[in-house]
Amino acid sequence: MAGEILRVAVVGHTNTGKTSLLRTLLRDTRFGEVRDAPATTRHVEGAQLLVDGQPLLALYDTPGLEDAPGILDWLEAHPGERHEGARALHRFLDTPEATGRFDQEAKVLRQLQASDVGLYVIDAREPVLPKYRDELTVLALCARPLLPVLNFTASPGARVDDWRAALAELGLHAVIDFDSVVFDAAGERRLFEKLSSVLDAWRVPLARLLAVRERDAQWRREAATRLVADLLLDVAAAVVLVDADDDAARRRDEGVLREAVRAREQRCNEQLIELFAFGGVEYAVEALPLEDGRWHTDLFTPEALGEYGLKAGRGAGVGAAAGLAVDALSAGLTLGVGTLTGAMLGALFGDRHGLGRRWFNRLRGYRELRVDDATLRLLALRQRRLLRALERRGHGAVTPLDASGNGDERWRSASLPRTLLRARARPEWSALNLAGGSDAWRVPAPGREEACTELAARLGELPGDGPGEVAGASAPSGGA
Amino acid sequence: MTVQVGDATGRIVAEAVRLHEERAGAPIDEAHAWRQGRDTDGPLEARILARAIATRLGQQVAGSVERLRGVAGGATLVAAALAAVSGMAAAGVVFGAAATGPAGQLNIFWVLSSLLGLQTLLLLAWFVFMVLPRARGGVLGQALISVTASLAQRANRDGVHALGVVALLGWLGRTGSARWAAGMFTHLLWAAFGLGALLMSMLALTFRQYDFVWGTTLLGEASFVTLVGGLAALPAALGLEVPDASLVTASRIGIESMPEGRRAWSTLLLVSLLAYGVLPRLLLAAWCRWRLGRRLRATGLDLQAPGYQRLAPRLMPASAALGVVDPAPPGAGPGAAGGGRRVEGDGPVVLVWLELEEGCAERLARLADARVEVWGRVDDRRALARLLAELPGRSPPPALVVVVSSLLRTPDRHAVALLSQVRAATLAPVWLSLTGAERAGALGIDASARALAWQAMARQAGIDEAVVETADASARARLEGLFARLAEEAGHGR
Repeated sequence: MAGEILRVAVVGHTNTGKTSLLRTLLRDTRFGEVRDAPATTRHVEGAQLLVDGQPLLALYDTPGLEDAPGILDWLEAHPGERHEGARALHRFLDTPEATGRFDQEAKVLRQLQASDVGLYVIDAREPVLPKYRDELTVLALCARPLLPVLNFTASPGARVDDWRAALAELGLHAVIDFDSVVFDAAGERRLFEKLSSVLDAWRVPLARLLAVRERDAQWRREAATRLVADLLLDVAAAVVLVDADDDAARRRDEGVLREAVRAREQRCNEQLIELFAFGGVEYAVEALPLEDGRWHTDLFTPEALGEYGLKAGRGAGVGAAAGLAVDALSAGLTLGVGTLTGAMLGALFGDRHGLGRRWFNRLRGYRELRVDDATLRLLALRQRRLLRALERRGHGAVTPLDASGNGDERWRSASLPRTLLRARARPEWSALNLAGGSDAWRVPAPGREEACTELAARLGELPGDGPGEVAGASAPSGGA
Repeated sequence: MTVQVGDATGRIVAEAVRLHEERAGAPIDEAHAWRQGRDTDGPLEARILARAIATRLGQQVAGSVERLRGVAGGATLVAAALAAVSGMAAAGVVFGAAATGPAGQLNIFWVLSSLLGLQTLLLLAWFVFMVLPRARGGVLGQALISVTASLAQRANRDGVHALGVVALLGWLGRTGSARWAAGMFTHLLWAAFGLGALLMSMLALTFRQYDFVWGTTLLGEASFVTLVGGLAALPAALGLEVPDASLVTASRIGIESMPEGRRAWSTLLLVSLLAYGVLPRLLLAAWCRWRLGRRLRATGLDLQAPGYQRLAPRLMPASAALGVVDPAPPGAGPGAAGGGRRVEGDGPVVLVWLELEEGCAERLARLADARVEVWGRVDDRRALARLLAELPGRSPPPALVVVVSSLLRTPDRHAVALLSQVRAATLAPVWLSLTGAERAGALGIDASARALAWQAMARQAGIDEAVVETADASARARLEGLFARLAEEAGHGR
C-alpha cells in the first residue's frame, strides 16, 4: 500500500455540484469551474489530497453523466452474452459511439473503472427520477464500490428520505450527507469514515488524513482566536491622555481614539478573512456578516450595541451615546455626562492598578481616556460571530439577543475576563499606544504573549468547554 | 551565497521574519523563498524554517545572529577575565592582610569565608530563584533579557540587528531558556573568580610562610573539630594530607603553633577553594549549558501563531493539482436542423411531460378534452419507447406535440436526445413548455438563466417552439392560450 494513492472518481448527473464537492475536499477554491448550468465540466480533471505534503488520495472530477438511458438503450440494442455485466461495458467503450455521442459518459465510466471507488454525487433537491436509476445501473457495470453523496441537504427542498429509500432499494445503504455549500467539518469526517468503511485497506491512511485535517483546523482556530485576543488587548490597553480642562482637545482626542479602534477592528476582520480564505472551504462571501469586508454598523453607536443586546456604559442608566471612550477616572460613566457622579463612582469602583499614575496625571491636569467595557464586549461578540461564520458553524446568522448556547452570553453580561481587566493598566500592551514610534527595537512587552494566549482560550470557549467563570469573578472594586 | 544555520538559529530567524511580517501586515513575497518552503519535505515547521532562511531578510538576520553569538562569546570571555582578576585581588587582599598581621598568622576560617562565603550565599540565592519560576524564564531570565536589550539597543541602531536581537531575546523568553543562559553566565563568572582566587592563594602559599590559626568566642572547640573534619572529608578521601583533630586543637590562637601543620592546612585551604568554589560552578555552568541547548533544540516554533498559520496553506497546501487527465471534446455537437414546422390539420394535441414534480402531472392530466390527448409522462425508457413506437402510426396524425418539462431540472443531453427522437417520430411540430419558474425561484435557482439553458437545448434538439409558462396563469389558461395561438398559426397555415 505504501506509495500507492487511493483514486476516487467523483461522478454524478450534470449540475449536482461535483466540482463544488471537490473544491471543498481539496480546500482549493480555484479548482475547476463552477456554475449553475449544465455541463460546466466537460473534461476529467484530477487533484491530489496531501497529508503533510504527501499525496494520499487522488480525486477526479468528471463531466456530468447526462445520457445514461441512452447507454442502456444502446446496450439493449446490442445484446451480448447473458450475464456478461462489466464485459458489456467494455464492449460499449470500444465502440465509435463511446467517442461520439456518448463521449462525455464514456469519460466518466472510463475514469470510474480506473479508480478504486466512486463518489456518486446527488442533488438531494431533485426527485428520484428514472434517469438517476439508469445512471446507477450503468455505473454499477463499472464494478467499483460506489458511495452516494447527498449534496444540498441543507436546502429546504431536500428530499433526503426519498433518496435514502431509493438508494437502499438499489442496495446502496452507505449514503453520505455532505453539503458542499454549507461546509461542516463533521460531515467531511463522516465522508472519509464511510470511505474507509468501504475500503478497508485504506483505513489507516484515511484516519491519518482525518487526524491531520482536524489538527490543521484546530491550529487555524487557535490562530484566529489569538488574532481576536490581540485586538481586544490592544483596545483594552489603549489609552489617551487628555487635558482635563480643554473640552475641544478632549473631543478631538476621543475622535482619534475611536478612529484608531475602528481601524484596529477592521484590520482584525481582514486578518481573520485572510487566515480562512486560503485554507478555506469554498466560502460564499454572503455567508459572512460583513459588507465589503466591513461591519454594517459603526462600532461606536447604540445600534451596534443593541444588535448584540448590550447597553451603553455600565454605570446606572446614563443617557449618553453608547460606546464613548470612557474617562478612566469616572470608571464606566461616559464622558461629558455626570462628571461629578463619575468622580465619586470612580473613587469607589476605579480599578486598583495604576491609580498612582492616574492621580499624578490628574494633578497635572490630564485625564486618561479609555474605551469602555461595553465596546470591548461588542468587539468580542462581533469577532466571535465572524469567527463562527468563517468556520461555518451554523450559517453565520445570529439573531440579536439570542443566547442560544453559543457561549456569547458570557461575553454579553458576565464580568470581563481578568486578563482584559489587567490589560487596562498595561498601556505598553497596546500597539495603539505605540503608533508613530520606531518599532524596530520593540521587545514584546512582558506578559503580553501569555495574556494573549489566555484570552484566546477564553474566546475559543464554547459553553461546556470549561468551568464557568460567570459566578466567580467580579469586577475589580475598591482602591479608593 | 546562503547562510547555513542550525535549527536553533533557524527558529530565531523564523521568529524575526514573523515579527517583521506581523509589523508589516503582510508576508514577505519572495517567490524563491516560497518555493524553498514548499519544496522542503517534512512537517510545517521545517517548511516555515526553510522559507524564513531563504528570504533576504532571513539571510541578513541569520548573519546578524551569528555575529551576535560571537559578540556574546567575546563579552563572556572578557567578563570571565575580569572576574578572575577580581578573584585574584580578593585573595591578594586576604593574604596581604595576613602578611601584615602578627607573625604571618592566617585565620583559616576567615580566609575561607572571605573567598567562598559570598559566592556560596549567591549560589543558594540562585537555587531559590530557580525554584521560583516566573513567566518568560524567571527573574534571572527576565533580567538577562532586559539588560541585553538595553545594551544592544545602545550599541547598535541597525534595523536588521534590532530584529535579530529582539527575536533572539523573545525566543529565549518564550522557550524559558533565558534562565539557563543567565545561570550559565553567572556560574562561569564565579568559576573564573574562584580560579583567580585559587591561583593567587597558591602563589601566596608557595612563596610566603603563614601560620594557620583559628579562634572563637562563642563556640566550643568541638564544633571546629567537626567543621574541619567535614571540610577535610573530601581531600582526605583523595588521599591528601589534611589536619587531624589534634592539629585543629593545636592551631587555636594562643597555643604554640605546630610548624608541621602548615602543609596540611594549606592543602585543606586550596582543595576547599577548588572543590567548593570552582568545581561546583563549572559543573553547574556545564549543566546550564546542556539545559539551555536542550531547551533551544527541543522547543519548536509556535505553529498556532497567526503569523505562521497564514503561511501554512501556501507552504503546505492541502492539495496539488493533477491537471486535466481527459480533455473535453472540441466544442458542442452541432444543433439539429429543426424548427419551422407549422401546426396543420385538426388532429389532436398530444401532451407528454418529462420529469415534473409530483402534483404537476395530475394537473396536466385534468386538461384532457376533445382536442387534447394526455399521453402521459415519458420519464423512463419504457414509456419513451412506447411513445416513439406509437407516434408515427397515429391516425389522424397529431397537429402538435407538447412536451412539458420543469425549470427545476437542469437540461441535459438525455433531454436533447429525447426531444429530437420525439420530433423525428412525428411530422407535427414539437413544442417545449417549461413550468415551475416560481418554485425554482423559491429554491434559489436562477429561473431565467435556467430557461435560457433550456431554450438553447431546445434549439439543439430542433424544437419548433419553447415556451416558458408564466407564474400567474393557471394550467388551463396556459393551455387555452396555447390553443388560441395554435388556431392562429393554423389560420396562417391555410
